[in-house]
Amino acid sequence: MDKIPFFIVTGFLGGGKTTFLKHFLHTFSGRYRIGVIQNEFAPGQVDGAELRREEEDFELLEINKGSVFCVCLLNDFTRSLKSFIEKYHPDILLLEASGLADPIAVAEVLQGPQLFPLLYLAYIWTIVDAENFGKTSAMTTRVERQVRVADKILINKIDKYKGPLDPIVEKIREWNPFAGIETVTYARTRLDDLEALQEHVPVAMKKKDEHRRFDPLNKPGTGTVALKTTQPISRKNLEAFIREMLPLSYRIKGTVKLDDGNFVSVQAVMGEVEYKDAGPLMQPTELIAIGPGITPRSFGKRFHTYRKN
Amino acid sequence: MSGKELIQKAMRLEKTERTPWVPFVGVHGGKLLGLDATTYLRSGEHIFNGVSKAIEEYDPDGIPVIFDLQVEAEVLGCELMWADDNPPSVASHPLSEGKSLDDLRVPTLDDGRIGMIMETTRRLREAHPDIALYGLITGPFTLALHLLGTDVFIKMMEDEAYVHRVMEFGKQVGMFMAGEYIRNGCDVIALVDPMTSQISPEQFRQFVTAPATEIFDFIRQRGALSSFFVCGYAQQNIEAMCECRPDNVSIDENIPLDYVREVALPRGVSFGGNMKLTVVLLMGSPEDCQVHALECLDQGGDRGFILAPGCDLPMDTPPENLKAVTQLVRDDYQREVVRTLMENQPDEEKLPDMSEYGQTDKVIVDIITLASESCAPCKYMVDAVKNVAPEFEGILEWREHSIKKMEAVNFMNALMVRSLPTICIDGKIAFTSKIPPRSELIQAIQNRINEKLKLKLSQKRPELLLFTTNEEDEKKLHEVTREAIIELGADVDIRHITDEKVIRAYGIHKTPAVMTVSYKLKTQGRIPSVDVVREWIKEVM
Repeated sequence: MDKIPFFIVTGFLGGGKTTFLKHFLHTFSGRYRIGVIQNEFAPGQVDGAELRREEEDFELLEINKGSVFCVCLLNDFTRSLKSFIEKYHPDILLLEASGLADPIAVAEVLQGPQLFPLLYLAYIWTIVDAENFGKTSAMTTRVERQVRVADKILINKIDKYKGPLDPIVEKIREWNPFAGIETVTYARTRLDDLEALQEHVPVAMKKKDEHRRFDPLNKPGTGTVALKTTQPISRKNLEAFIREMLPLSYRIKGTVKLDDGNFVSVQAVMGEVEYKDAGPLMQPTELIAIGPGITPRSFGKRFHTYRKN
Repeated sequence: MSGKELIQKAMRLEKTERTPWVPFVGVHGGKLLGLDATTYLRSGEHIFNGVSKAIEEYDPDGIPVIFDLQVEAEVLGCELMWADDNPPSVASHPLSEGKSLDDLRVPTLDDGRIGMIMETTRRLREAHPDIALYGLITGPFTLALHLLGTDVFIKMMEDEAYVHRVMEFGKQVGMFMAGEYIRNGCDVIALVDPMTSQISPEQFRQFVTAPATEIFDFIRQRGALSSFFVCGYAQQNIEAMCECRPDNVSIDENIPLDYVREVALPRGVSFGGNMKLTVVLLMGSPEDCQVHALECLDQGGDRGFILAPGCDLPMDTPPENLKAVTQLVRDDYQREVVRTLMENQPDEEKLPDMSEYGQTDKVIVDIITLASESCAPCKYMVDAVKNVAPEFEGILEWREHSIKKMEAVNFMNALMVRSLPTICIDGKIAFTSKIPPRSELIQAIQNRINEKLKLKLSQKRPELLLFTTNEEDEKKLHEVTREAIIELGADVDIRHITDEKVIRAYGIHKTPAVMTVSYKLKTQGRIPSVDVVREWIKEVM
């Protein structure tokens, strides 16, 4: 059975997530059955009813309509999402995640035994508001984490922002050495050609004679697993672990805590791995792997076996 | 020593004989009573029964009265969205919807569920004097988020004075709630402020430190202990949290325990946590929970540490999982077993299929132990079998498998043994943990012998093959054999083989010859594993 690709768009309130959502719906709702999951609610925020009024065809699931502040509340998520899938049979799922939600926590929930057979985490967009980026020194830890976990970062509202873009791009690049970065207006990024989602793979890595199209509906048996731990691992063991996982996965990415206290960003795509030093960070190790041969249990187990080696 | 005393000791950073355990039973209490979260959280009677049931089931050292960070918000004008499996969530933010801070006042006992909760506290205090009762109050920053919504983050940059006023108000609400909880018998007041994980240390010190410190001072003056709970990625704020001088900080899985220990203990603050809620406590097995609890205990150490889940327990957390943690915390022996198993991880690829085990003629008794030389229950278990063995001379074979050796761990897993010590008879678990009385053990072994006999009787009968190449031999041999069979009254078949080619194929060079053939059914309906087939082959060699 083909699993449903699950997409996440995250970013701060007012940054452009809903505009992105509309754009996504506009592009795909004719071709695919789309399930939208909304997780944010605040006055002035466009809600489901309004979205529907614009005559886009989609099904909506509202999770924790209210402030989400706790990973504990994600328990409800599994049950609600499972019923939603059984009822509406969507082809695609898109979560518009609150700026306060934790994408890795979502990924962990998606790999639970009830959801893992039904879907896989396909792609994460993080939308950053160019205007407020500098001002959000307050929210730095939060923004940084959302950027780190993204596959693509959209720097939005560049029409309104009159300052220099380079410092923003630099900062984002520092946090996430591997993701695609795009400057956009109205959260508009190329979606109609899903191949464009592979842009983040550096040219050198693309196998020229194997032109792989990213088709969200053509990944039978794929699973996405997420690993989060506060326990450090040696660089050597990490590399051995990644080498073992390579043949089983399309992509592995994340930020890993090493035993010298520093972190390293890693991305492995189509058989090739890149590491970049990330300095000391105050967060756990976060790794996401997507591929046909990976299960949550085996991924975690192998990691910890290598860690204890 | 009572649970309450143990917790007091831990919070004073004194060494304790064992680590105290505080399961954060919130809506899970409703689950124990078969109620949904909303029904549970709205009734003092249900909460009293739920918490009492949790105390009965889990034998904790401390427990919260209620885990619901919306109690104050509800009273202050926030609309709540109730749910079946979780505490409610806040759906509206009065200060962002036209209400002014001046319109709000500190609650009283007559407001919302507050009176009911305090009454329940009092009842719980009377019913369970030896347990540390935790009263949970919503921290001022999280309350600010309830009242203002995410606007608070913008206001923190654009209107600091206003945020200070909101925090001041939150402080007053917190002090009121703390005071009431203490008055009604709580030993520990937990200031729960998860939203502080969203801000930097600078903002924490700017907005949270002053009100939080005042609340902790207030609690201290009233003679109670205090804890600062935070969940989420809050590592950056641990130092600042300790500076507020709570007696304890409690964290979830997103922050490493050893980091918190290194920051908190030197600052005179105890610490607690941080068991994984979803991956282990909700979705794991009891064994997983014990392994994880032991890992936390090791990291926490024996001074100033309280074992707890990372946050409010999911409603559906299996009770066996929590009981397993209790067992681990209280039972030295169990800790040793789990530790030994952790160090000798079974190799899943090498686990033999044990379902056909024990098909040999003898009855095999396996005793799986920690180590009988050093462990009393193990020794007694082994002795029980030793003492009974003479009754079954020649039929019984027994062996001890100590899990300090790897093969025993694989063996244990293959037989799906979960507790030690355990006696298995012919590959099936017969007695666990309790040493069986002699008569019971004899009976169990005898039952197995009878079973095997029945099996034997229902199988294809043994044969006598009579090899002859002429009629005379054939006739004579047949008579001899028949006479022997009749004399014995045996259940045996006779088969004549006269074809020379066939006779030679049996390796026979001179006729007349007799060969006995016995058939033992070893397995039916499935493909056996190599290890088991090896055993059978050994038997016939």
